[in-house]
Amino acid sequence: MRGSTVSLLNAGDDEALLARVAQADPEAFEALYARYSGPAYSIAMGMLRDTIRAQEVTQDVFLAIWRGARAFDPARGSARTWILSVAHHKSVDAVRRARRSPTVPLSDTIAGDVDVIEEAQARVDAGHVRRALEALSAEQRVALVLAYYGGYTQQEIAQRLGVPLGTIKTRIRDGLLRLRSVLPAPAPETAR
Amino acid sequence: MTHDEIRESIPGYALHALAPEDARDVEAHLATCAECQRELGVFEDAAASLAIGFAPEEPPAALRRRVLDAVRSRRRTGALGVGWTAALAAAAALIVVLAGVALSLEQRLGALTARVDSETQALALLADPASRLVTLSGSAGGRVRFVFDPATGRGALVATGLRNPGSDLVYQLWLVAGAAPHSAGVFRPSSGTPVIVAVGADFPRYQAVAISVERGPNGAARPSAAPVLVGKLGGG
Repeated sequence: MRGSTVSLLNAGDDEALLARVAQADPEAFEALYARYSGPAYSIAMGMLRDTIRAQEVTQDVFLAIWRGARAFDPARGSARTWILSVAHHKSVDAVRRARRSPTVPLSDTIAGDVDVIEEAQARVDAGHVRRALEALSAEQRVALVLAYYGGYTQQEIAQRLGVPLGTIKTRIRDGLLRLRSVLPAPAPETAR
Repeated sequence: MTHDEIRESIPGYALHALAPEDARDVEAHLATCAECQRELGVFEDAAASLAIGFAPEEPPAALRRRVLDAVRSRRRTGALGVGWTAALAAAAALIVVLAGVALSLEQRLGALTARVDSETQALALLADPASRLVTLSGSAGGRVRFVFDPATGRGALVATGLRNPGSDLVYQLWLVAGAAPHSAGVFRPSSGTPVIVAVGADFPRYQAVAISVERGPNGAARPSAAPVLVGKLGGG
């Protein structure tokens, strides 16, 4: 089994693997797990900082991939983007559930803006992503970091920063477009 | 929300930074707007480049086994007799999958209609001596039957001639136990083609199956309106 998984890793791209997962092919699923469990778990750990929850989220992510592979439309984006998006979405949902749960210390929910921004920013580990974020305006960077790494909604960000929602939408749009020009989407080999 | 308002929310949607109700509005719009789909692709790529910003962490080796086992158990629940397998394969191709895929699904359904006589396939399900058949009745028209095997937990909804629930709306199938309906999937009718929704559940726990009209593409966590079709399962 392991041998065939390794050969699958060399053969076929992610889109082909995902198409086979859509046909309920367990070997293709194992190959996708081998490729993407690391990135998915890293996202979940970065967001949740809890090995148990991160494992639950990672399992959810792969069950969602197994069940939802048929919904993937290659005309609308790469398999890699789709998988990382599922992983981020599940992690954000888990972070929001954790924030709503009464076991989160009150100090976490009333922490000042600076703490919240620093906490979210601390989740950015990779040097080249940090540098790319530094190429944005401070306003764009804060909005993007709070949204993507902090798991806050646009409304929450607008409220925290005391600026109109429309302004946050604009900062996120412009920030993402800027980011796209300074940080090209990496090849799968550098996903980790 | 208008197209322009939705369009402003696409970058936030790509970051999963919308409130749930806003995300649902965007998804409903995406299902029918090619321009916004293209925009979303651009912003999702940019979001994916942020995904590699997290510190690399190695998942525990045991997690792999758990994930593969979880998937395998789901697969086995789909493994039935030959007739069932063929029927469920046809059903699987027709199942309405969640998340703004209405367009590509319609195209796929169109392509499938030509080569799969899915009603015949569904009959394989209906012909299984172990299975039980319930006809749903109500106000949505059409012919809607639910066939299930209480022993194996395998079932499927077979619906023909349901009227269109309206744009942005879907039919949502519920399994009802007491006052707590569980969602068993969403679907849209397809003119001339039976819609088949495969359902796996511990059927003896449930008293009824019901269908309500909910907002697309994902439906609701709980029914927001009275059911338009109901069938008694006899459980509970």
